[in-house]
Amino acid sequence: METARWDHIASLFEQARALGPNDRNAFLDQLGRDDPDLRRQLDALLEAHEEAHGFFDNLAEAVFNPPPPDASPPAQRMAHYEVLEKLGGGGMGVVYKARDTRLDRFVALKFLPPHFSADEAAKERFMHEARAASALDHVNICTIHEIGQSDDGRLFIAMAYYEGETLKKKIERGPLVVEEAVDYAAQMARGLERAHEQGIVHRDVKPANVMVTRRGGVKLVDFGLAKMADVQLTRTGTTLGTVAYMSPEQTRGERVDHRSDVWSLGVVLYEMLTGERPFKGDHEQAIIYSILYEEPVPVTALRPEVQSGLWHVVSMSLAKDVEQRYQKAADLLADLEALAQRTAPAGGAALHATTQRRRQTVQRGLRRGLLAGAGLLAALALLLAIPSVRQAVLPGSALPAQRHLAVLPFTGAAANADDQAFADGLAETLRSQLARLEPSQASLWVVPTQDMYKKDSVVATAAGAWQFFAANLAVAGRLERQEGRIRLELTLLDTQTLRTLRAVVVEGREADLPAFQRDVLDRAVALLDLDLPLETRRLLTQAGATAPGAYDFYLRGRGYLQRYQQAGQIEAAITVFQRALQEDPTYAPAFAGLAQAYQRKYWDTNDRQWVDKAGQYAEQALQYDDDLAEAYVTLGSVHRVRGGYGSAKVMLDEALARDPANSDAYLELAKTAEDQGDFDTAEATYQRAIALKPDYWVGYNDLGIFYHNRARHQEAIEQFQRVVELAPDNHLGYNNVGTQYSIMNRPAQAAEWYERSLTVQPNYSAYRHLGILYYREHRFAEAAAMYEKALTFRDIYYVWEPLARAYYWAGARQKAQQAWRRAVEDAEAQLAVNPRKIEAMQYLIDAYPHLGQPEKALDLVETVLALDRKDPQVLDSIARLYELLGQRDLALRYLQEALENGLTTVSIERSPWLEALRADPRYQDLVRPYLEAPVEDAR
Amino acid sequence: MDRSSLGTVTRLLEAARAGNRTALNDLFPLVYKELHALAHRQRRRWQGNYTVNTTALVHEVYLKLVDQHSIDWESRAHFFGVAAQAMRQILIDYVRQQRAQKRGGDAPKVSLDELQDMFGGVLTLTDEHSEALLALDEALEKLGQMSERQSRIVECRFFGGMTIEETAAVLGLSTATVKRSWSLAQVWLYQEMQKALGA
Repeated sequence: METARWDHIASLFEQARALGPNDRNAFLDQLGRDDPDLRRQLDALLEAHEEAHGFFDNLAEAVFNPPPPDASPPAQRMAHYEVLEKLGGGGMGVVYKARDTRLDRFVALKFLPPHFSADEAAKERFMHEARAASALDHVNICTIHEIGQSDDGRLFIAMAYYEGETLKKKIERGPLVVEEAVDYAAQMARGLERAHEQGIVHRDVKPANVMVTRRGGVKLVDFGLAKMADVQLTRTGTTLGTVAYMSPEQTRGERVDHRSDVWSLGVVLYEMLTGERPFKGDHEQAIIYSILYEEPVPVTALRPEVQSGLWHVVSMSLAKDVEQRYQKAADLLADLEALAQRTAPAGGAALHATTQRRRQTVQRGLRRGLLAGAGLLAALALLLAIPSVRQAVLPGSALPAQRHLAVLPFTGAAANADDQAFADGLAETLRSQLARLEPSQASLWVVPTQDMYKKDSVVATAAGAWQFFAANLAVAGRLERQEGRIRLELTLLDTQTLRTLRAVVVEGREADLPAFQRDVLDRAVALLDLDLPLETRRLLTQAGATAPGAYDFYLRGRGYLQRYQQAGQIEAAITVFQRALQEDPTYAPAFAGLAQAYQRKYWDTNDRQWVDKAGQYAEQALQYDDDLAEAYVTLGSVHRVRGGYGSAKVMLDEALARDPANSDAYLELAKTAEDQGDFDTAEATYQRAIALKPDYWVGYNDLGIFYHNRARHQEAIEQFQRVVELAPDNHLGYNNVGTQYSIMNRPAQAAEWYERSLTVQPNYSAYRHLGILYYREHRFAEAAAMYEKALTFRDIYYVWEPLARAYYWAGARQKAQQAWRRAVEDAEAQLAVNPRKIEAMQYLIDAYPHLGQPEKALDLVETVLALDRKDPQVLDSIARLYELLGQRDLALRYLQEALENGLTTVSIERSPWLEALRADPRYQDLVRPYLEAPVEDAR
Repeated sequence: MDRSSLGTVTRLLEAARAGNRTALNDLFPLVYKELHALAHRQRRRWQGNYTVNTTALVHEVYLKLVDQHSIDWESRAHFFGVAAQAMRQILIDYVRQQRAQKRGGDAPKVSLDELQDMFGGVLTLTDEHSEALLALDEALEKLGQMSERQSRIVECRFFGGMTIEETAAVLGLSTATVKRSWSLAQVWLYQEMQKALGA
């Protein structure tokens, strides 16, 4: 059909639809007289109208919104239940209405998400929790009839069925009548009170978990389930709505008790009264920030008819400090009831009773405060009276000549650990200040922050400092903040005997954090018998030269950044650094902090935009303070990642000019040279880093890896053995020695070292390399199993690719294809970020031919050879490619080059791909000079 | 040589706004690829959230690929238009491959697993729905020859999961126009598809 005619039809169709039935017929008749064909088309269109719409709605539903397979409706009949209809679904599972045929009553059946049933231990824990909750019997708690498992293994909970709707639905229609809101809150408080008496904390009080029956009765559902789902909920980011009800301690991932429920109830009450949530934000981190640091808009400001007394109850529930909050749901309930009665005509007596009770509570609180205050005063008096107490030097506490120091994360006093980030920030600042003293104090080195924080944990004990870093001294700190005062107790420990050598107390005011931080540095320096020239001191403490609020935020940011491996910490760091910049828009250290946060984000996500952001902020930092070494390091790293090696080097030199012992700078510098192919410089730079910190294992390890990359295995082993000597309980050294043996075709020794490594700690590297070993021994299924284990630690192309090869030779061709595809996808993504990443190219060259894309591999060969002609691994991969393509001559040529550049013969001799090639006499000639004397295996 | 896709996409959008139509064509593979990459990441998340929200997917890709500061309203619309096309292509590719695999045909270009990931691991279309989608694709091709605008509207509404208002904003039309055209297009497409499916 032509466009013009179609437009005509479209216009007539619209006109016809706008008409009533009679007029429409007249209109169509008129048209039909001139053009019967047109009439027919219009008739057909008008007739199909309804049907068509239904059709597309259904199709869209089926395609884009299909029922999930694991949550598909259960069988119509299940045990003694007859499943009737779906009532709703949420993060915690799908709920169906069902009839209990035995007792002839309706029930609500909740099927839990599949991951609950996935692993047996989780299932056990869940059943245990749910059974405890099912013992609760209260009019405001939804009755649980049964917890069971369907025939296909899915967990379900059979609950009482109530006619009604969730509080969430009610609130969606707008704020509730005040009396209604107070009534619901009181009922929730009663239910919670009972649960708390039984030692059960709900943990997920929110409107969606509150059923309101038709008669206005409130039923709390899902007791304790949140505990089981915690991990998944916070990880997925699917809970934007849920975070809003979490208490501050919950968002920090701390242990929560019943007072957390009190907070959540306060949030729900606030929302019932105003229709809005007290803590809001565009994303989860913003909400968490608001929960932690912002005061909500008073309810009375949003809804003037609400009495100030009611707002007081809400704000008492929303006290950020758990000690300041209502201590019990019952206390909250008493106040709500008092308010309800005050508005009711005959409530005098009750009001009186509650007021009295309230007064007592206040007095108790006051007394507690006074006592604490008195204690503090007494302590202060003591300290002031006898100044020498401030620094206790224990007998026999002469320090070792070499001070290898770990500053452990500061802990908070148990009752008031309200701000771990602040404590972390203080510790990190001290760590980096002390590290900058290293060049002037030959006997000192400090374990850098990034080494203290491991993948899932932090080295937090003196014993750990010895175990992982061979640090002989550790500084521990215990921080208390109370009523605007800060008190930090620093302890110097011998990491081998765990004896306290010295201790010191530093006190200050929150209002003057920079002064406090300066005092901390001074005290720590004295504790360690170090000298601190005045000029150096000025340099070190200049980060504090800003608006007081800005410095506080900055310290928190530093703290969050240290725990970057935990979910949400980088975002939190970004948020507070930006807050610092709001206080002081020219505050260079905050810009530098932002730059590092974005750099971390890039390392985490491999998402290129974050590199750009990191670079941008680092430049801004330098714009306001061109002496910030850390900003130069970040910028150098950014340039390196972008492939701008020249600029990277310039920046890192700038960093070292300002901070000559900056280990990050040296590492980046060495890696830059290595990435660039300037191996002599790289080697010298690694060695310089080692000379600076001769007892620090990381330097040896990096140099060992460098030798490994250059196929200088004997030298690598020497370095890695130093690592094992210095840090015998760290699995890394063993792995690396094992790897060298593996490459040198000594599988027995290699396996032995890997096994030793796994006894220290299960880890990626040992699994991966055992995979390589098995592959070489042509035990392909076992190799695949090891690679699969490795993948659980690292989901990345250089695991997928060898896994693909193992699958392939184990006969799992389809799985092999999939693994190769994964490898290619991931490696290509890496190349998009850094088009000069040689390792990614190498694995792509391996993978492409198996996906029917040898031409892509050939393209890459050119690119990669232009970048580096001497990488033996790359040359080996190229040789394999040509052999696969039937180009024996070229394959042999590249194998020769690979061998000349240090490739060990084992990877050729054991490769299943090169079987035919090995039979070629030309190969025999070629390899002869390189064949090592067979290594005798001692056992 | 060293340009991020962020910069590339933004540049292409600027070119498109300046009247360069081929820029939108160049944009397509980038958006297509990114939707895939996103799906891959989604796979690693917990599979508890079953609903496939195409709008959310597209929006996430937008946030990732486009520099928010340097983009104006019109370019934003261009982007979403292209994203809806990419969703269409991805879905049709999926159906074709599903069919090919059932018949034991050639190895697909993109694995079913990847496409499955995109849809939260739950996209198992019945044959009926697969056929319907292919018929829709063909009918939409014909519709595009008669009225490109209407086919764009269908792409936005059906494949992009956009509302009437979003579609109007993306295509620079009034909501009334979108409503009318969407209504007619559905009817016409339905008839075409009935013919194809009945045959």
